[in-house]
Amino acid sequence: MSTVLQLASTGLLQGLIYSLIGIGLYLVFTVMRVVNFAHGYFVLIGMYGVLSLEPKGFFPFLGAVVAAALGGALVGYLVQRLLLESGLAKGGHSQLVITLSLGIAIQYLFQVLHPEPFETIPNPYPFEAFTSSGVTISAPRMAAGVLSLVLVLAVSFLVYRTRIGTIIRGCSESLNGAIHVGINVRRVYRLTFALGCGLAAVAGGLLLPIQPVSPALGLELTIKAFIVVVIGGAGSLWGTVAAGVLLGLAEALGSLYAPGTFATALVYALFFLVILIRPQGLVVRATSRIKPPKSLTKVGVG
Amino acid sequence: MTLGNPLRYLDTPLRRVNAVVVTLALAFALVYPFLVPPPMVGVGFVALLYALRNFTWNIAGGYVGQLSLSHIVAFGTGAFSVAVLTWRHEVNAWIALVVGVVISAVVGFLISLLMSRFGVNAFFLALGTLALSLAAAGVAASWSFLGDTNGISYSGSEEGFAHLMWYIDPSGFYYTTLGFLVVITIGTAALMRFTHFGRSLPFIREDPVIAASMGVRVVRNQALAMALSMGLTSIAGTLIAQYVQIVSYESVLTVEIGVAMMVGSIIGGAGTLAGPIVAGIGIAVLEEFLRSFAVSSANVSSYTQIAYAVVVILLLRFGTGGIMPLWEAGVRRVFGTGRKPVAPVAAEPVGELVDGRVG
Repeated sequence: MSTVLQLASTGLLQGLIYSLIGIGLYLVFTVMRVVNFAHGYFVLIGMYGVLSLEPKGFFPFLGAVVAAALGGALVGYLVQRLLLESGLAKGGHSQLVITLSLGIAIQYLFQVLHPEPFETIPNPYPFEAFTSSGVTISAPRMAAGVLSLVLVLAVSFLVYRTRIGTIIRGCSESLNGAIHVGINVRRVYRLTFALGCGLAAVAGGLLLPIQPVSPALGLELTIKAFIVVVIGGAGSLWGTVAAGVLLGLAEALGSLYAPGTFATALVYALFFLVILIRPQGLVVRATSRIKPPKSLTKVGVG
Repeated sequence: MTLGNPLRYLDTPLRRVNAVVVTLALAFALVYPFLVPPPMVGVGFVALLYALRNFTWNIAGGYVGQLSLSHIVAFGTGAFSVAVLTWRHEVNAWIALVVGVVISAVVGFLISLLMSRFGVNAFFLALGTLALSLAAAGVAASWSFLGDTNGISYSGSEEGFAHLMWYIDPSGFYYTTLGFLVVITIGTAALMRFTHFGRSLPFIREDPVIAASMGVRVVRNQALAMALSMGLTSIAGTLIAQYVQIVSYESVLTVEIGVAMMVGSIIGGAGTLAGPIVAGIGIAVLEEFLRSFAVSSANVSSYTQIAYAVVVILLLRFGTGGIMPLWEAGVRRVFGTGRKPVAPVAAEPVGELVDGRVG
């Protein structure tokens, strides 16, 4: 029983980090309808950013995480501005391949810079572990989960309760409408992309003391972010958060019953099924936002 | 069907220049193994293999626009079929090759059918096929039938064309791959030019809705193209497995292979005949060039991957269609179009569809 409880609490905390990674992707996807295949690699930027700053102690660590987040956001801003923006009007294919290639480039850049796999940093927090009723949780894991939750709440506040959030949601709701009321859509897109990438980088920084980093991790995290967003659906940010927690729990509890690689294969196969069964989770609502549903070219066409 | 005088196809300067280049390239490819030492023949084999891989991806990915990563599964199937059937059970390698082709084709057909039936868009096609490939890699890594984490090593003694195996001199592999590449290229060109099925493919890519309304069976043709594409990709997997003599999930079922196929085709020019071949050979040459700088071999692949990615990003960012469209534009600029200027009649270039691809 205590094993299950232990795994469940670990999974829950891990899931909160997945939620944080997922909402970055969710924002970029719902607002700009850009499918960022490089998302997991922005997590990697956060991890290697903190790693290379070599923080000693709690406050330097926090500083490093913030710096990594700003770095990730800056890279995201530049990517959006220099690479993606011009292709936005042309539809999804070019961005798909651009972000996929960008991810590969980032992965191998880190492969050259940090050939050593599974690098990590020592526990930066001033306490070691929490034990309660047979469940032990290490300080970095606890802190990462809690900080992720705080950030998720902060982002949801930003999106649902502030003026900037209203503007962001406006662009997501109706691009034409946003242009009509004088919103600078380009700027909103750049900021959203930067925000999404920054969140990914923060998550990376928080993840680093728990999970040793190697360049191949980027792809895995991208896939996980997609799983979270696809299962969560395009309806609300909370769907993404719930899906993140679900993924964390499923992963932790699944490790009880299936060996590593096979469990991963199972997760991917399930994900494939989810894509088949409910692609509308992401796609239909998003495309219907671009054009009014009764535009002439699309009448009677699925 | 009569071809008439083949020279009448050489009616524009671009076609004449291309004919000369293709003839020269083919002649060079034929004599290449006699000009260089065996290790360089191996490089030539790898270059042709990349070209073959890109080309077969391009059939579904370029002509039909299905940005698929399930070709990783096809590549792996080709490699594992020869590993399991030939190396373990001493079935003839050619039979194993055909088995790999058939399995991959069936898998490709089913994947495409499934995806189309559920109305999956380009993004989900890429994501779903990626998920499938990763699932396949996970299965291969934990199933002893496919050698789990250790992989399967070659064990045999026969050599020669009948066994698709050469130990010391790789020119056998080289010529076999060249043969496959030439046959598949000519076959695809004929398919795209002379058959209704082939001509429908770029049409489906450009606008599946109009294609369907014109009576093209979109879903079936997409699935058939995917089957053809993945089936032929499996050949490349079989050839590389025989060449390196070890197959494991890490060597043939990685995302990098799928991305390399996709990106190679796009660099060369997706939906062009020669583009994927040019890009494949070019990338192999680039890899060899980097090696000559005494970069450690682990870093060579890293730098190539980065170079790949950067080139693709730049190509897409600046809206060019890859090497082949650039080449065609360049030749036209130098030699002229060879056609009298015609007043533009319709906005849509309907006539270009007949060439088997659109602009």
